[in-house]
Amino acid sequence: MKPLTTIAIAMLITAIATTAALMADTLTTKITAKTGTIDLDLQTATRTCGKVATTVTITPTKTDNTYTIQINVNPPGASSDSCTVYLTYENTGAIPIKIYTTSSTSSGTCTATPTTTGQIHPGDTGTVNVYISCTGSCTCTVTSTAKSWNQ
Amino acid sequence: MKKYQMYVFAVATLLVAVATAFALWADALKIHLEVNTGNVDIEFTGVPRAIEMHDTDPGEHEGKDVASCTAEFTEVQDEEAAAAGLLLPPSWNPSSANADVELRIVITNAYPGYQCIIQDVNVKNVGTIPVKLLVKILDQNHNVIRPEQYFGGFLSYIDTDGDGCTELDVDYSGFFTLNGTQLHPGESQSFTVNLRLPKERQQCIAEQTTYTFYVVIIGYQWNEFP
Repeated sequence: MKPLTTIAIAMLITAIATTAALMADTLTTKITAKTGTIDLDLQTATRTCGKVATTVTITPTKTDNTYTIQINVNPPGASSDSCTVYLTYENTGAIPIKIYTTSSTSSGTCTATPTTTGQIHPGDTGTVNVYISCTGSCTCTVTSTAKSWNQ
Repeated sequence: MKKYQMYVFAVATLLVAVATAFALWADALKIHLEVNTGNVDIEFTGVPRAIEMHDTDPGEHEGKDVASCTAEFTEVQDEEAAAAGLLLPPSWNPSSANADVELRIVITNAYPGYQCIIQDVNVKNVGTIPVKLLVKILDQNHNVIRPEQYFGGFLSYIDTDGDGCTELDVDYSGFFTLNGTQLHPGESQSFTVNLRLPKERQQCIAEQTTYTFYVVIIGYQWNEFP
């Protein structure tokens, strides 16, 4: 190919490319949102009963931000007794929480009363008192769920 | 033979005379064409300011300081490469490739109900020809995100992680006012970014998770706005 022909073709290609290229410029905003954590940890579970011989078995299980605690009270000789179980939770998450607690039982009496009704900040603890009264063996199921303080 | 040579000489002389006459009669005009193209260039200006909100009040819920929201101009990535592909026509000419700083917004320790508004940000035409602006939202894989729904055409929920559950609420009215805006050289247009982690979508908001998305503002030469 002759040099003049080569130059002509190159100029033609350049002209087409220049014509086809539209001018534009872009600006980007990058947005990153990292969420915190809601978490609680059952630190201690202590109890007091009217009778020394009454046995109390506490079985906690945790799913996500919810503790399900089964408390079995077994007074001696199928007698009657009342116990109070003190559940202490720590906010191990990164944002303030409120702990919502419910209780249920198939027999006897079982009531859960949070003594820390307000917010629990990260690192702080809150206590829930569970009162159980039964004749013979009974089981109280307590469910404690941590939720964000603003909900 | 001598006579024949004379004829040849006479014809040759005639041709030379004619050619000389044409050369004398011909002239040339030269048109010199010089085209200097303009420049399409936009940039962020202003001093971005992050304002935390809850509902319609400033600050976080109950005045706490739990999450944080920051905004700054910085070099994050090659914005031209991020916008290339389906977002821009193949004939797009990045006149100022990767020459701009980006607006970087970082929210940490967020929770459902948290809201942050970025204000005092402008887009300025620092080029030499008018531009028209187009705004697109991209997920972290640079796919275009379309809002799930509108309320009065302004609010929208978006799914940035592609799990089919919309976890962020972006007030499109804040920066979609830029769409179609024409800026002449030297002119600028302000916009806001209003982002919320909606309580009503808390089932979509996972803990200890990072959600990333991009707002891309494209300045086209004004007469080729798509």
